[in-house]
Amino acid sequence: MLKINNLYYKYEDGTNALNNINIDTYKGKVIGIIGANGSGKSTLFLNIMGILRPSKGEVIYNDTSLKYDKKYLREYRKQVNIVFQNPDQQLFYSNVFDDIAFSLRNLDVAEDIIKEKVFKALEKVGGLDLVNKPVHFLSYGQKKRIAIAGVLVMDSKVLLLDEPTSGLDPYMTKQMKEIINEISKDKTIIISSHDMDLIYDICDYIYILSKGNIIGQGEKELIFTEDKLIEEARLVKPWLVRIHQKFDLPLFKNEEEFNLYKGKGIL
Amino acid sequence: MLLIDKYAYTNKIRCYSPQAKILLACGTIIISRIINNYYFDLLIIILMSVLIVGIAKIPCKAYFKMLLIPLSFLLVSIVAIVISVNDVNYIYCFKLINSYIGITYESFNTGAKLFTTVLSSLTSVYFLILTTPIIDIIKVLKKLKVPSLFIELMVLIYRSIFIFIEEANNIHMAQTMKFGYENKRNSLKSISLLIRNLFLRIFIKHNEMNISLECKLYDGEFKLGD
Amino acid sequence: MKKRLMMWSVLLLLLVTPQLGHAMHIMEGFLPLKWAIVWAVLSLPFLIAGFKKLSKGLKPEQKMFLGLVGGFAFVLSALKIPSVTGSCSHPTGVGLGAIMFGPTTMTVIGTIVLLFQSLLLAHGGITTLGANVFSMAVVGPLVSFWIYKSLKNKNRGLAVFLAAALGDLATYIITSIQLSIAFPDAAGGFFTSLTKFISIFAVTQLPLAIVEGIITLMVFNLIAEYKKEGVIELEESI
Repeated sequence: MLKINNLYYKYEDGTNALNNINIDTYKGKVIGIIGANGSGKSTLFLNIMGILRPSKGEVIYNDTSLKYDKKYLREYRKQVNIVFQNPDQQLFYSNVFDDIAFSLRNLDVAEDIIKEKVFKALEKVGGLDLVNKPVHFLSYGQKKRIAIAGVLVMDSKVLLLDEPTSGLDPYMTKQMKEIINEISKDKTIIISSHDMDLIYDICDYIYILSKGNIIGQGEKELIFTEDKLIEEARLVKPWLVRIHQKFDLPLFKNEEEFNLYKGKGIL
Repeated sequence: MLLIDKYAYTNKIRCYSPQAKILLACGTIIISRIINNYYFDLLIIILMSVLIVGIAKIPCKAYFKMLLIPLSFLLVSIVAIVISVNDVNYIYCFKLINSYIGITYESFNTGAKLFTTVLSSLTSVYFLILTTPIIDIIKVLKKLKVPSLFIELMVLIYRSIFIFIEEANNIHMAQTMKFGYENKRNSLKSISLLIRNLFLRIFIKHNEMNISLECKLYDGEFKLGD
Repeated sequence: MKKRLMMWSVLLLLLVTPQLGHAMHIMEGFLPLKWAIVWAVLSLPFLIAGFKKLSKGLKPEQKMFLGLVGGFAFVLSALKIPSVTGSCSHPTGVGLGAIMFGPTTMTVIGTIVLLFQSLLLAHGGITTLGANVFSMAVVGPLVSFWIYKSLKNKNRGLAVFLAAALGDLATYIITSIQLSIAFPDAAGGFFTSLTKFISIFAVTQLPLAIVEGIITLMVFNLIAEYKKEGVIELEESI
């Protein structure tokens, strides 16, 4: 439903940020965008959200090219939304409930429906006990979860996640993985991350971004075995791929499969 | 830094009606002024302190510490009011060159009454702010038909305060690690840098938050619901 | 003999001043109800005027900006700056705010910041809000802004310094006037009281005004560096 066609984006000083980007979200339920710092991931996300306008090419949603008038963007953002990396830039109220309810109140949804949706969103991120807490008392991980809840509440069809696990400890990362798995059941997710293991675990299809260009794309099992590409993009391979390549283990799809393996392998 | 805010959320009577608490605090302040009686003031002081320490379970030590700071300012100001020069009817005075400096019966009374008045108002206010989170107070103000722009600004400023406190603390810590506050001259320089950085953050955060606001379908109003 | 007088006064003031290092908020309950209301009524027109101007010209994206300005002003006034007398003082933020954002904006933002100071720090008071608004959110910013505007084309550095320092002094004088009206000296009346208050507070307020003036100038210069590189856009009065 979301497609990027031949998208180019230039910064104000003329440098090319994105060159000929082509993305098709029909390729998978969870799409991963990976690349080194400065490769253009955040710029791409802002283009998708209609915050930035491409200099060439287009963003297409449901077979319609993105229009940049207020009315269209409003409807568009009900369907396609984003959770930014830094929770503080998305939390406006000091009260968790009010902050999550913000976008719904902007849509003049009735208060009783708001209550229902807010609690549903909080449940999805495991944050029901945080509902009456002031935002400034929350830890970083809790803030990240509330930031996600604040967007989940809009029931969008497509959700962009910008580095959802950055700054999180291993336990919280695992929890976040479960949250993403849960919400991917009824949404298309586009996720950018530096955590190759996370990407490998939850994504179906991956695009590799390097210096504003897509230098490779494919299903996760195939793309991560392309050593040259991974190196060019200044990335590393997920550990499941590495042990598959170094030892004689099969290529597991995720950690669960690895844990269940009872075969011969190294020894 | 904001101890009072922390107590406002963690005290035992946080969930009681904010309207009642505001009414009690403001009511006693106004009534004690009208009645203007030492004993009534003392009654309020005791009542509020019992409510704060006994019912809301704010730690006694913390409460007294909180009272101490304004108390010192109070005593000093009272000294200024109570002492007069070359007056008549001194109950106590001493001579300084050609002038008499001392305390009259009236000025002593004024000072003493001021002391109890301020202390009773102070304890009433402390009762309110130690037991009622700001967000509840804001919602009551909204019900009292305070203009919505004012309410929205209060909500936004309250949230921003904590963003900046964290930033200021981080910058200050980093500067201290680099010996930024070892002497007066460095301190001036470091604090100016700190302030400058906080100022710039206004613009940086403004840009970032506006992007988020657009994505959250911001239509110009920060609504609060009922 | 004069020496003795000096010595006694200095001693008395030194005893007294560590407590007065804090900025000039009149505390809760200090003003008689009558005067608390009078000052509230006097500051109301300024507040309403500032409010009207703000709501008329305000673009939706500027609301968040004002929120951030308010947060900044609050934290600024809670910082500890080194004071000549050794004790700590807090800046008022009046000067910097007035220069950067204009006096009418600062009246509204200043009022909210003062309200938060009384609710979050027990600094100042709710009944005395009117008086504090008048001295710190109306007169202070106006004096600072006016001085800055008149002098900025002659000598910008001096303009900034004087705007901040004199804004502080104006605040402290107004507060002294407010206190003297409410508590006139039994013998000498208003003017004796005024002399008492002004001299007692002068010991801390004068050095504070100078230090804040210096710091405001330093911050202004640092900001100007960034402005030159076009990193931020400043609207000098909303």
